[in-house]
Amino acid sequence: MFSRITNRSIAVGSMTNLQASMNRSNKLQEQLSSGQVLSKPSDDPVVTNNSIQYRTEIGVQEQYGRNNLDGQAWLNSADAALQDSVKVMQRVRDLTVQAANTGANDTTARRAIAIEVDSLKENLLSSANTKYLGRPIFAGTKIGDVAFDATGAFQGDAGVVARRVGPNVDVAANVSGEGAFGDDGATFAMLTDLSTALKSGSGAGINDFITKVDTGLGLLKDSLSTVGARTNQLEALKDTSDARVDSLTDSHNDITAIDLPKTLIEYNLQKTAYETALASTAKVIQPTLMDFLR
Amino acid sequence: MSTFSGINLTSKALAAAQRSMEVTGQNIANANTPGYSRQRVDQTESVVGEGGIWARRNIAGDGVEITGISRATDAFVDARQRQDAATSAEQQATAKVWNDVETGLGEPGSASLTQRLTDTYKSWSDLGNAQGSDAVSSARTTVLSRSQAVVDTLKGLDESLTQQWGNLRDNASVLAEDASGTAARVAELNNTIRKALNTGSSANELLDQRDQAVNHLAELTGARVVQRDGGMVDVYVGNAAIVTGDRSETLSVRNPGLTLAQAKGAGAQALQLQVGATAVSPDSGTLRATLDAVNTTLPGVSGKYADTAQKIADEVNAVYNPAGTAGGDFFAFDATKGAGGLSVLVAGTSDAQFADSTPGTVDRSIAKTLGQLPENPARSPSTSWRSTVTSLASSSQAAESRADLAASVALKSSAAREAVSGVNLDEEMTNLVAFQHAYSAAARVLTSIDEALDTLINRTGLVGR
Repeated sequence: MFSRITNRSIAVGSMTNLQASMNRSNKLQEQLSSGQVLSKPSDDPVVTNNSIQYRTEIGVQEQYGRNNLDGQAWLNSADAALQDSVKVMQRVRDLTVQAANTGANDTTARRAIAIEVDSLKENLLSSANTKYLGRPIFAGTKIGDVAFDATGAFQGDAGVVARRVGPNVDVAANVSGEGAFGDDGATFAMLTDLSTALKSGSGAGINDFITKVDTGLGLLKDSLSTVGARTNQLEALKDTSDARVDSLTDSHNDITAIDLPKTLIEYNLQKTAYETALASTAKVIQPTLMDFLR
Repeated sequence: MSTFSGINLTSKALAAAQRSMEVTGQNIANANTPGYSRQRVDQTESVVGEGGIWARRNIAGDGVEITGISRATDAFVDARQRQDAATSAEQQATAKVWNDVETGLGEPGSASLTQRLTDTYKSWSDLGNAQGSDAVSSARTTVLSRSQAVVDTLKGLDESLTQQWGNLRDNASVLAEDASGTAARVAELNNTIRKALNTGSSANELLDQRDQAVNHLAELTGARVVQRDGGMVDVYVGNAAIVTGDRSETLSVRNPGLTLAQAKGAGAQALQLQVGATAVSPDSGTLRATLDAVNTTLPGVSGKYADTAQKIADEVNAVYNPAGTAGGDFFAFDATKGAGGLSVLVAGTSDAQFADSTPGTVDRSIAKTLGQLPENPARSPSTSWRSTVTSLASSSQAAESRADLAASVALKSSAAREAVSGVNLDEEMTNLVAFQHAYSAAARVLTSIDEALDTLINRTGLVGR
């Protein structure tokens, strides 16, 4: 269609096109300087949606990692406490065997052994009351400062200190106090009995205590292996959650960060286009018939 | 035919050429005046009206006659331009409203509500891990301050939205006043134009001015124009006439003291435009966009913010206070205050004030469960916030592309108007040359007639002298 073109319509048209071109340059410049594809949600609602989802998911996975490390610290404390306890009980076993072999009349020797057993019992009690960050690790979830009182009676509960370390994966970061030291601190009661038996009379029946000490030792070793297994599980899960954080962060960057070479090239193209538009506009707007009339 | 009729004829020719040059000058002078329509001298050949015994067969015409100065306009093109400009103005205003809304969101970014919520879940999880009174009390403090940050962020969002809403509400009154003033001006111009046309003078410049005023009215309200006799126009908004001939009505806003709570409450009230005392709804234009934003868009967004606040309060309280003990909640939410009605109820970090474990234990199971909120999409406040942000973003994007489209359509129809009414300097220069030549030629004719008469008067009857 033929339509009249006027100087003003050329000027308005050129102005609009220059504005549009400048707008595109501005958008690219904004992306280049921020390094982000999005400056506001409506730039791309889908990317916005995914970005928010990724951010939340990254937060969740990071927290799994933090929970995991806390769980490992708990288990490490339990591990150290149980290792110590095993050593104590082995020493008790050695002493018990020794006492069983001591002559029936050697009350002094048995008394000496009994004193050592008493002090070993105290050591065991202090291991059993090991704290992590002020919290007795064998007390379950019950309020209180100790897992076993001075007599060796259990003060905690069977509560599980669980750590969320993966989607719907909870790992117990504690082992039960009763599991490690016998029901209601049976091991401590047994040590008290042993000491009493050693101190009194003929030393008959000491032999029976060897089996009982072995039972206590067995409980500790079982707990120790549980702790080891859980630590391994946590370490494996930590790797998983770390890897997941990395891959999520990568994906997040893929969608929200600019592709630098591509954006730079686009920016240069845009700049060239803008300069060309400026040059040609300057040439188009200038001449009128006036320039050619004498 | 008299002896001097030739002189008379050239005088008319000179006058016509001169007038044409003047009009060309007027066109060039207004080449860049917005709304100016180029003008042309209408001329026709003059005929000798002699008959009867005066009838002659061999007589030239009586020169040229100027019949008027006309304005190059096309009513259809003008009407289309007016309508497109009104639509464009409406869409631009709507896009601006959405743009302001989403700029306030801060999404996606490190200062966004998403991030605040994520930080809060983390602080709950950390509290779930915390043991020992020092660690617990500092973890609880962190939970409280992060939760307060969520409350503040929502409050900030709601406040900026309320402020934007208030500005738009006040804006509506200003726009209505502007429309009133413009309507009065159209009526006044109507009157002047009628007088000018009745006295037979040219009203071209007045018509241009009235077109400008009417266009402005259309951009404000999407007003429609109906031509009437005497060169006047009537202007309608909705079904109400705001200009009838030389009379205009007052436009104002009904309910100018409306509050956001009233606009979105049950039995919602609305801000309305009224002509005199009749409520009208503008067909398009800035006013329509403003009223829509005030009555529908922003109350809707505010409602979505409030839903998010409600969701946060509900989900956290359901875990924190499963028995629903009175006063035992973590968050309080006052629905009448919108998203700003969210507040943290827990006052301190002591065991008595802060319930994060099953009673009688230190299992921190409540804190742990709260830290796991984002794992369950159906219950996570983040999920509902995400869908709110996404829907706002989509609305904003759609509004922006509609505005872009409307702007380019408006540009096209304005170019179409320019094609009919605009001044082309080349054309004017060409005309100027033509008129100048016509003038010179007419002057030459006068000179020749003059010389002929000189010969007749001064040199005849001298034979033999």
